[in-house]
Amino acid sequence: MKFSLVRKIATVVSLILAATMFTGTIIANANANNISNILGAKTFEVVDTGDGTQDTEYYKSDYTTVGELRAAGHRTAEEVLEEGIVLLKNEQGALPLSKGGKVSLVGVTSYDPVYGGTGSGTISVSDAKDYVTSLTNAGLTVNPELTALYTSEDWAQYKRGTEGSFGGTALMIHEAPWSVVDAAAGSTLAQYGDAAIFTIGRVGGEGYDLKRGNSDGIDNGDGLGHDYLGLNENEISVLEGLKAKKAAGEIKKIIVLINYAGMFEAEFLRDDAIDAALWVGALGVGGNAVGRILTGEVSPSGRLPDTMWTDNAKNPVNVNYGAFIFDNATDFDVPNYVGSGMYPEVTLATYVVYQEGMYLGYRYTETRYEDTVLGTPNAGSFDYDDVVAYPFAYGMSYADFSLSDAKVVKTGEREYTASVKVTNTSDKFSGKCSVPVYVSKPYTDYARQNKIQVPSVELVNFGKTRVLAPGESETLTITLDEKFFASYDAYGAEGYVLMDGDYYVVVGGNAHEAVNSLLAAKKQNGVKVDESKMVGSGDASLVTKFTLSFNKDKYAFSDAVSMLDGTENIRVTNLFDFADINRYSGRGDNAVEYYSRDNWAAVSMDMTNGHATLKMTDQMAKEIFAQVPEMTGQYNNSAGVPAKYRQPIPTDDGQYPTYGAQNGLSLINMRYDENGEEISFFDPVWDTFLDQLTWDETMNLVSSGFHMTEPAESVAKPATKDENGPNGFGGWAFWSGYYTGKNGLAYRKAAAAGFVDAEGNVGEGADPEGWTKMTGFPANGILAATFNQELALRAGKIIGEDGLWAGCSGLYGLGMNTHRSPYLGRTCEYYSEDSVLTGLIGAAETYGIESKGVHVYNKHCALNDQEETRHGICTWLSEQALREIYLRGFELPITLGGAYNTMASFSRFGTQSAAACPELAENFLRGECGMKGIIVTDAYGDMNGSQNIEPYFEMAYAIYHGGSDIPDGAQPQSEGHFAKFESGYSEMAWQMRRAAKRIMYQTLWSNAMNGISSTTKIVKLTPAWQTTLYTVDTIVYVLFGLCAVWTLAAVFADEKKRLGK
Amino acid sequence: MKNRFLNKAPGFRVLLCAIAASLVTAVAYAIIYSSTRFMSWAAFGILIGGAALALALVLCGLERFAPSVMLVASLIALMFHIYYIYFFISSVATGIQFSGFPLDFYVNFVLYGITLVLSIVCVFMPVEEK
Repeated sequence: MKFSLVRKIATVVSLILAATMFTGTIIANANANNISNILGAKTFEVVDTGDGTQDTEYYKSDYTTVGELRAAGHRTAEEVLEEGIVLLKNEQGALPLSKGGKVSLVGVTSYDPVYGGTGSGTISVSDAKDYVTSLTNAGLTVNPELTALYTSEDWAQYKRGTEGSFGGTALMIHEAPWSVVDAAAGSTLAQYGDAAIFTIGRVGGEGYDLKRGNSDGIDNGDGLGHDYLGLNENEISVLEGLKAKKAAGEIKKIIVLINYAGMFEAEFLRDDAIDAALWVGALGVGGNAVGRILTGEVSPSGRLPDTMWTDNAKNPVNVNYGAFIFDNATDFDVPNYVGSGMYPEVTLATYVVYQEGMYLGYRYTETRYEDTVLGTPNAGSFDYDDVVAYPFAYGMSYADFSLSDAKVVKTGEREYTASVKVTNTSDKFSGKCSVPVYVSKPYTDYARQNKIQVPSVELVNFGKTRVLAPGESETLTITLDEKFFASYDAYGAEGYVLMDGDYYVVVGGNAHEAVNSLLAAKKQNGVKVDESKMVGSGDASLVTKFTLSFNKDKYAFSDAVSMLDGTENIRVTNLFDFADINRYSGRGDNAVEYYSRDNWAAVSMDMTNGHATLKMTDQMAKEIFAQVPEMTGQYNNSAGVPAKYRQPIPTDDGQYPTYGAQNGLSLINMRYDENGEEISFFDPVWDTFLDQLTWDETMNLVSSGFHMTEPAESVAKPATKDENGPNGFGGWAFWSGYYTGKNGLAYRKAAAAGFVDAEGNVGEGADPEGWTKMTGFPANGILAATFNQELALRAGKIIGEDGLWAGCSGLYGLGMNTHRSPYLGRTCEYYSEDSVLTGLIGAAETYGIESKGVHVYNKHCALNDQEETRHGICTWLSEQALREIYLRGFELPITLGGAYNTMASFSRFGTQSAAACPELAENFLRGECGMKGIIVTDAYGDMNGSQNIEPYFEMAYAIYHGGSDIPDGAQPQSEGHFAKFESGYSEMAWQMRRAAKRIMYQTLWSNAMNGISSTTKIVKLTPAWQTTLYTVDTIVYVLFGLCAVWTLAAVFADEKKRLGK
Repeated sequence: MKNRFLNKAPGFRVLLCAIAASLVTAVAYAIIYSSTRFMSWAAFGILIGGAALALALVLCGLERFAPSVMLVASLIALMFHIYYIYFFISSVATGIQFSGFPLDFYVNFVLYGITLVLSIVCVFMPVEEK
């Protein structure tokens, strides 16, 4: 009996194990490359069959060790912060502080700095410098009693933090109230009273926007009050307490540091008791810069990348910020309910209208200001001083600079050169000075007739001096592209036009100073200016006027070589009518009045009900449903896509591409021809090459791309490793530091030195620096605030070097979206409210990254300017605003910086998913901009219904119609969506081939090819985890086999016995 | 016919419960997943087929083989279900916005689990007449 029980137990257990292992092995093998990528397992080996003398380091490093690179990286991050920190206020020369001074650091963030953002923008901060270290290194003595208190277990409740889970995160300020601080600190505040430095910290990141409301943030101190970007009750108590101490003579100065990547409501800084204030952004690993700035080792030279409002409720963009629901969506069977998960969203029935059009940030504040001063009809009431705390490009310095001899001359057919002499008039401080240049275009009858909006001033370029000693001068020359003088005319010329009239080029100053200079120049030219309404004064000598004639042809064609067909000068014309609700063919009765200079009175400040309202139409529903997974409608619901909206990809009987040909071409052979000439993307030899791909390889390439591209053995294409993020490589994917990527310099050097074992693991003796992580840069807003393209280039080179050493040939970044609202959760990843500043800094940084064979995937193209309900949201805006603001940040890094790749956003252009939008992917990015590489979706698992929200995007749809090339994720292997296209879908097969070609091309010109020559072969390896899996499989199957035989024999015997009876 | 269900060992009742659980699981599974890409019709068929075969064996007086049939069927069905649902699980777990698993996801797995456990239990229990 016992024997029988053992047999049964053994058989059942082995059966369950065998079934589990069998299924698990199938699943694991179907996702082998993803698993290997995550585990960092070696999947192929490069074997040189030649003499090994060929130089295969196509992208070379400037460093010999990881240590050297890291030191350079940290120094560069510090430089970025030194030049990006913005001095907002400095009464009576309160700053800099004297070295040796005794200071008190106050506030929870003083002891827990905000280094970066959260989510995919996470950086490694294990060796970042905190404030105490930074100030101490700079020669200040920090109040040790306060340090001990703020970092003690007793004060554990006073620590900035989060509550809730990802997506439902509540951001907690948890500032220690003054009563607690004062009681605990006692007399030490006076002992360390040369200055009290109060740090106000806020954090943002992926997946959420910041909490906002109609009034300022007076709450109980937990961050859950009305407004996360206002002071909370405890912070106000600290300020009041410090002011009392100052009034009592116990402390000499109050200095405020705003440690947040974006802008804070800043009216409170007007308080006379606050002596100085600095916006320090998010620090990255450059924290030492703060001490150097405070002590005057470095003079501040940053300029704000955004407008800093007194109160964000005065920013009209916020009226239309967020997501709104088409109330009538259910009339068309479009689900308008939220998912049931932890972070519920509506993905098929939400919309947002960028009703402000061109008037975002300073384009709004300065234009309304100019119109108010000029007495323009319908200017409405606008009190500039009440609205703007600090304008765009505002920034003080310890040094004083004067601008003289400003002139702008036309130096080419479309080139202007601005020059200005910058003199440091300070007698004490050295420093750098950046010089923004703005253009003011004419707002003509033509503009009015064709709904072209013309902001008062717009940034067109900028320059920055070297460090100027007291009395020293430097003449900056800044080249201006006349294309930035042109406006996009969607109604008349359907392209860029130069309008007839006077153009003013303003050199230097922040946006408000520029407008004041513009007004002074206009006054000189006879324009009536009501100076009583001016806030500040201008300098007409900094303004140069040009009179241009109407021209709709000069900028009617792109400058790039189209990557669609290799032609040049393709026509730039309306591509996105469907994203403008006023021009969309399926708009029905919908219409929106975008903000206009002719009617400022129409601008609503009603944050609750002032937003544009839209109704869904049948055409909208049809287009939305066309892009969702074919079989799935509502998640877990039997309805599916309504029958009338089902639009499956059609079959055809066309001829498929050739697969599996033996043509003897490896990917490396596609770089240069026999004459040493670079092989063009359009060379017919690519067809010969691509014929070698098998169907399965093609399918894998376009269906699997989770932070990688798949390898293809037939053509010796290696897998690539593509990782986050926008502030530098970092995060969870680099658990082995620089050794993570097997094709990285760090790993290959360790292997060459004999420190890598047979299974590919780096062992003892290898450079310990190799286990560290890459440089985490300050917030991109800080980089933008440097107004220094050369520094951005150097930062980019460090990121590129990090990729080269860590084995990454792709960066999921940079973040090129727009700071549309201060409440954007992901501000840390993006640069500015201004598209030209975003584009030019991003282009320089991109150029540096690309120079090391690391391809950027600039993200999230486009209109991902909010995090809340970002999935599938229908975004409506004018084509002028789309092109001049939201796409320019992506355009310039491609045309000027050579950006290879782009990541599409979760958003929709109108109803069209950005990830499946041929007008964006084909016509704009590849055609107009000449982008050479690929487009990856944003996280695919969020889009296809795998999450508990409505699916709103199908990869097959994107490939078929010409959108994305690979998903950031994988398709379900169980159903194999691309597998079903193996016959009867030739058009799909050719589209897959085109995407595969682009994947090949971008890999070919990346550092993934380092170490591969024409005489090397790529030999596929079975990684250790797979070998282990097969070993366990074998044991389990044998065990089950034995048990099965045993059981059958027992059953047979039993049955025989029964028959015998 | 009635006699076939009388005077049976306790394991027989468990077997009937397993058969019933299998049918309930199949129906619930179809309700939850039939409109999605995560539906395995093979799993559904094997659940129904296994239960039908087990019932047929009972009716033929061969109920001693029915627990094994139920065990194999419920296990294979579960494997098919896992094979078709794993992508959903991995996406939810690794997606940017971890949304958690919905209630019906758990209900379905619990039903599969009950069917499998009952099938295993009756393998170890006598099912024939006392």
